[in-house]
Order: sequence, then C-alpha cells, then structure tokens
Amino acid sequence: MAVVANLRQAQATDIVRLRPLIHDTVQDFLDTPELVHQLVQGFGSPLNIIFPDHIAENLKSFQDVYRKYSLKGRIYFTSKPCKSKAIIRKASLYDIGIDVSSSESLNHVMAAGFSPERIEATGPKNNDYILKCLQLDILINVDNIAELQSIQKIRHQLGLLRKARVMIRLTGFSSPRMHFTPQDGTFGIHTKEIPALIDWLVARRDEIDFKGFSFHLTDMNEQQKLVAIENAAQLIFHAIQKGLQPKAMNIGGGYPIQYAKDTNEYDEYIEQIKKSVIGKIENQVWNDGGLGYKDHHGVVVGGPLFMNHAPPHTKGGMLDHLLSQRSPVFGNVTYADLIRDNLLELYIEPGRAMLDQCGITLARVTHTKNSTNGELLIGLDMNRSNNHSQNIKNLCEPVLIPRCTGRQAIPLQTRGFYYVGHLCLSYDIIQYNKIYSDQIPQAGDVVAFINTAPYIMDFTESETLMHPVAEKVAVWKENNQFKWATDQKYLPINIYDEAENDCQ
Amino acid sequence: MIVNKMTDLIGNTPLLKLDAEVTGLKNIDLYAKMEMLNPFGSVKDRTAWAMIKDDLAEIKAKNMTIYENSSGNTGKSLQAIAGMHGIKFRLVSALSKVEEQKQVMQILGAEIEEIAGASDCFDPSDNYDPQYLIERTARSRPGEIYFTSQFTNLKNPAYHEATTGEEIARDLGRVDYFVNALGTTGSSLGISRRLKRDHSDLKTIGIVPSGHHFVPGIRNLNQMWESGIFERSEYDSFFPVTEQDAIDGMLTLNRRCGVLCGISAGANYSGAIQYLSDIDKTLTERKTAVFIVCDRMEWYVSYLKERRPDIFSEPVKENALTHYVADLSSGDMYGIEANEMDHFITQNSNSIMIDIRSAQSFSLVNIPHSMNMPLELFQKWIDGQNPFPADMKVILICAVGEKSGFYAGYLRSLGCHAYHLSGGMGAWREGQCLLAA
Repeated sequence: MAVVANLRQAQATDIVRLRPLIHDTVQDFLDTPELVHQLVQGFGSPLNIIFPDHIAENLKSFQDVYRKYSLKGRIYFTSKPCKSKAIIRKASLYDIGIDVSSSESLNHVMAAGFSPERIEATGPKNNDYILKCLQLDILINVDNIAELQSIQKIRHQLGLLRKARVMIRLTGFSSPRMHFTPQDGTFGIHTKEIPALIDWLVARRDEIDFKGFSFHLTDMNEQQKLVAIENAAQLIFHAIQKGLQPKAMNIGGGYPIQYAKDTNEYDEYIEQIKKSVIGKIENQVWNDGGLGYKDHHGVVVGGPLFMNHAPPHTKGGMLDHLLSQRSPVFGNVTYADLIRDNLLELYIEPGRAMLDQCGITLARVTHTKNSTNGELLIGLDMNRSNNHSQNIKNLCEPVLIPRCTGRQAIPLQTRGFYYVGHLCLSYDIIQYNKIYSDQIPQAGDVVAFINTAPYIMDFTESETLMHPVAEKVAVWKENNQFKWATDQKYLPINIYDEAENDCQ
Repeated sequence: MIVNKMTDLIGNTPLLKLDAEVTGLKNIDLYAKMEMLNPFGSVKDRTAWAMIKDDLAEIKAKNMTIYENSSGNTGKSLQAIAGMHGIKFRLVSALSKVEEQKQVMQILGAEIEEIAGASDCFDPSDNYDPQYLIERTARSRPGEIYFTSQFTNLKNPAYHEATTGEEIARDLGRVDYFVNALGTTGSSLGISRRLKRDHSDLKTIGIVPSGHHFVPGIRNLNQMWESGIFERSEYDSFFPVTEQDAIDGMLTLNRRCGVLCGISAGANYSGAIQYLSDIDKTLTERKTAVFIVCDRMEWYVSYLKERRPDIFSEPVKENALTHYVADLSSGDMYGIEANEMDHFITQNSNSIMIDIRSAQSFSLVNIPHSMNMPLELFQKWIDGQNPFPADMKVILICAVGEKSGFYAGYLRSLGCHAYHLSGGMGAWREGQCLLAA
C-alpha cells in the first residue's frame, strides 16, 4: 500500500497556481532569454513562435495506435486550427493526408507540398470549391444532399470521365441501448435519410465513387462516439449489401491535449475559482465573473467557459481508448476489431492533437498599474484577438522571461494580477482569471503563452484598431543550436546544407 | 426475530473492531461501521428511507413516480422500497459504469434511463446532467414526479445525524478520527456533526479519488462545491486514494476480516490506514477511529475483473496458448499468398479454411468454402491440444494476416499442418477486385 505522500491539508491561505505543460525544447528555448528578447525586438510584440518539428511526436502517438491494432487507413491532419505555413510544410514530409475546409486553404496546402490524392475537403462548400475539388480529383467529405447534387452536376459540366470520390458525413446517431438527449447540430446528413441516399448512390455508381461514411463529433463524449461508430458501420454494411464498395470509415477528430502541467494542480485551481465564486475566498476572476460559474444560494451552478486542461485521455491515447472499447451491438468485439475485421480502413482527422506543443505566443510587458477597484494589472503589447478562441479559453499562466536577471522576486502569495491588452477598449482582458507568477512582471519583460498553436494564436486574430497581427517565426534545434526562419521562408529540410558546409 | 417490513431492518448496524494485527495500529482502535448489513446492502438504505418514509402514503395516493439520479446504491434502495409499496421508480443516470449495479436494479424491476454524455455525479454545469433533466421533467409534469434529489435533500444528512452518528456515539462514546468517502456527502456530514457534539476535537477525513481514478460512488473534491450538502469546514482534511489502494483495502477486509464489502469500503479502510499509521507512531494515549463499510462486494465483480484479472485466473495448462511465443526469426513460413489459395486448395483435398474473424465480419465478405470460427471460440478450441486429424491441412484466415500467422505458428507447435492466408482478407479482396476489373 502506498505511503502517505499526497496528503492535502486544506488551508484558506493556500494559493494555487495553474502552470502550463511545456515541451522540453520549448522550455530550452525559453531558457535562452537573449534569443527570445531579440526575436521580440526584431519582429515586434506579439510574436508567434512555431515549433514545426513537434508535429512528428504527435503523429507518432496516433501511428502507434494504428500499429497496435493492425489498422490500415489514413490520418488526415486537420489544418484549420492554425495558419502557419511552416507546420503544413513540415507535415507534408510525413505519411499523412490533410483535411482542408475552404477553397483558399486547399491552395495553401497544395503550395506547401501536399499532392491532391493526400487531401480531403470538408466543411460547407460553394460551387467554386466543389469545382476545384473535382478538377483536382480530391476526396470530398459531403455535408448535405444539395452538395452531392452539385457534385454530380459540375462533374457533368466538366465532362469528367473519372468518378467523383466522396465520403458522406453522418449525423443523428441512435442506439437502443442508451437514451440520448438530442443535441442539435448543423453538419451532416441524418442517418434516417441514408438508406434512400444509398439507393441514389447505387443508381449513380458510374459517376460517384462512394468511399464510406464519416462523422465528426467535437464534443468529446466517448459514448456518443462509440454509438456513431456502430451506426456508421451498420450503414456501411447496408451499402455493401446494396452493391456499393465503401472502403473506409472516417471517425473525425476530437482528441484532446493536456494543457496543465499537473492534473491535481489543475483540479485545485478550478476548485479555487469555484470557492471564489461563492465568496469563500477573494475574487479569482476579473470583475467578479465566474468563467461560467455562478453563486446560487451558496452553491456553485453553471458550466465552465473554458476547456478541460487535464483530460483523462489525450491524443493517440484517446484513440486507443475508443478503439479498445467493446461493441455490444457487434457481439462484444472491440471497435478496432470491428473496423479491421470488416476490411475497413480507418480515417481520423486530428487537428488540435497534431498541433500540441507546436506553438507559443510571446508578448512584451508595457506597464503595470492598478485597476479602478485596486486589482494589479499587467499591460501587454498584444490584444485578445492574438490569444483567444471562442470556446476553449486557456487559463494557464504564461511563462515570464524577465528583461534582466537577478531581480528581487516578489513572493507568490503577495498578490495575484490580471493580464490586459493594448486595445483602447475596456474589454481587452487577455486572461480573465487571476494569475499568480513567480514574480510580478515589469515593463520590458516578455511573457510566453504556451501551446497556443491550435485555435488560440491566430484563429480569431484581427487588425482591430489597426494594430498589426502577429508575425510568425519557426524555431527548431539543429546540432543542439536553435535556428529560426520566418514562417514564410521556413523549409522543412535543409536543402542548403552543402553551401553551409563549404564555409567551414 | 420477526419483522413486518424489510425497512424495519434499516439501521442499528454493528461496529466491528478490527484486529490490530491486521491494521498494524498500536495506539488506535479502528472500528468498521457495518453499513453493508443494511437490508438492501448499503449505507444508502438509510438515505433512501429518510427521503421518502414520511411521504410514502402521499406518493402512493397521488400515484406519483419516484425519480432519482444515482450511480447504484441509492437507486437500488429506492427501487426496493418503492416495490414494497407498489410505487413506480425511475432511475435517470449517467451510463452505468458498474454493470452489476444496473443488473440488480433490472432484476428489481426498475425503469432505467441512461443518459450518454452526462457526468456520473450531480453536475449542474452540464445541460445533459440527470439532475437538470429530472428537474425539467418534474416541472413539465407537475404532481406526477416525486424527485428525492439525494444531492440536495437535507433529510439525507439529518437522518445520518439522528441514526448512524447516534449509534456510533452510543456504542463508542468519544471518537477521535472519522474516515468516510465523499459522494453526496450526506452520511459524512450527518455522522461528523453528531460525533462532534460529544467531542469537538474529532478529526473528520474525507476520502476522494486520486486524479482520474474511478472509485464507484466517490466524487472528487472539485465537484463537491456543486453539491448542496457539502460543507467544507466540517472536514479536517481530504485524502486521495487510487483505484489500486481501494481494491487492496477491500481485499484486506474481505480476506482477513471476513468482511465481504465493496470498493468504497476498501477506499475508506485504505485511506484510514494510510492516514492513521503516521499519527499512530506519535501517540502516547489510546485513540478511537471509525470508518464506514458502505456496501457489499457482489456488485463489483466486473470492476475487479477489469482491474485485477489475476484474481480470477485459472490454472494454466502445459502447451497453453498463453505460453506460446511466436518465432519471428524464420519469417512468414506458413503463409499462402492470396493468389495461390485456389491452387493450394485444389492440390490438397484434405484441407480446411477457417476464418477467425467475427460472425458478422464473416457474413459480409468471405472466401467460398471457408468456415467461420470466431477468435474467442477458436482460442478455447485449440488451447493446449490439436483438434485436427493428423493429415489435415488447416488454413487460418483473419483480416490482415497477423493473428492467423500467430495461431498457425501455435498449431504447428502442437503438430498440426497449419498455414495461413498472407495479408488476410484484405489482400484476398484486393485480388478479387483485380480479377473483376
């Protein structure tokens, strides 16, 4: 039996921090303050640093699962969570496909080195987008019946001899063994309509090459995903019996990542916020907000407006967890067996999980001051559009990189503070939760928000009030030395190696 | 002893004094409050009874249905009591994680509505939370639903204060340490309040699951602030236990004390021992500690099978499958390429093709004249003995040619003429497509 190691005494004065999980290479980079400050000086604040090499580790976590279960198929890297060109260029070197969700992003990934047979087009599509996909023979993940009709029509207009390659996105999953409270959604074709659609596809099998069904459930509920796999499998089998030859099932994305350094610390931090909401301790959220929680007669009600920073399964581990569950509908086989033994390929569309630890956002501290009500504010030369996402607020404290070393550190308990932005607008709060750092940041220091590549660094960035959007710089290690290039000029392999060696 | 109703047997449970040889405590007497001896098998019999006993006549007269959100024990108790009184009960809960709890409720005739996507415990932050859904249903059908609401019902702690706590105080007098796992926190709060009336220095320790560990019936500290009953100031400290700790604790009570209790009792015991053993070393006077034995062992068989399969393992035969190590050095020696299958079968009249995929996969696509023996059956069939005639050639088939290769190798080790389809059905089907094209 374990010895007493993690006994937790409750003390009202304890302040819990929320530190981010940091990749070793990112930590090494932050530990070279001269370079960090130089780059911020050279490219301005804020500045996004991209670590393209880290995509390999994320990819491996999924590939290992394919190997473990002897599954065939394709990993489609979902490119939409980050606009970095360097990441796409690096990704193009690996054995993966890529998932694009607009006509322009299709151009973008082709320019970065992805050939059409590796690309899958998702999202709502106008006719321009469909035309381009058909001309380039790109796999189209169909969202609705009108889109399927457009595909058929435009293919005719183009006079194409080859079939249009499509997958069909499903929605409306159900299972006799459990009750779903219906949650509404905008994407996909309802499973009830699929039998009729299969007949339609059978009649047009010379025009449309039906590859299989797909779904994408973003809320990370595992049971619903498993039911979706079962429903998709049942419909694929139905399609096979009707004479179609579907080859694959696309189970989409939704593989979480770990943001918090320590799961217990995260739990304690959230508990600290809840306690502050019902007035047991002083405010932990700007302007008495509760980040979704409210005080209802001394009980916390409401839901978090931030993501789970420490989910129980992450990246490939989440995929492994799903595939190892057993399906009562199919004789209690594992979902991996169900897919493999029916000779189906498994397609997945990880986005966030492929970008884990691939980017950070740097910003310079401009000033410190007190708010109207006496809270300590740290002003950053950035705004909330540079570090923001609609639904996945990251609460982790940024890492502080002081301008000079040897400064007297102000102890943690003394005071928490809030990071605010440079917009001439009162809502420009960078993080709404109170931050406790090693020391209080001062003008000229740089702070680094960790793990911002997926959905945070540039998903909502804008030139509000004519502040320019952040530049991106790719950073990597070569022979234990940091190298950098602008995101535009980054090359995934060193094709100028010989020229460099000539100098030595 | 003659009783009229099973509910007459709720409460008045004994305290078992644990042997110091088992606990290893020199200065602390550790008592187990045997709540598992309640008639329906858990401490929740009291909670359920407390919540409905005064209103049973009214519920029955108005033909109301009792609704509750429970992961197991409360639902079971409520169903048993409702059944005795001819009242309908409906359980609305997150998907059952403990198979046997659900099965027992099915045997008792409960209506069960499982909500996918709901948290296991009361979580008002979730729109698909059972608590919220029941409240909404109750509002839309006024007068039809009696929602007991164990997470907010103050009858829950009050009854434990009046009975469970009272019994302990009566039997032991002064108690120094009280250890209990936190679920609704109703029993902890009630018992702790009662014991503090006699001894205000009582230290109450809440047992919570460590990190993401799943201990049935227990919730983590973070969720506590959403319970209407939780009073943080009541607790001296909180002690996290792992699944392994809980199981180890349970096995100690099962095997050494004759207490056939479940997982949460194991968590309490394990937490109590870990917490108390350091304190025990510093003591110079005798102290008294109590923990709750919440429920019984039977409903946790699958929980244990999943986490401790070693407990259930049977003796292993010689030549057993589990001992077989594939010899990978010689490569795929017994593989038959998909395009050679027809030829091989024609040349070997005494051959048989066995597809070891599931029946469903087999029915969808199969090789003519092959037979299906799903892997689970196949493994049992060949484990430790070769069931095939000496001159028969056996060709195994799976999806990708991996498992078939492994089992062909194993059958060879038993003296069977085994082969397998290289690349599996995937390769075979590709070959068929080429032929068709």
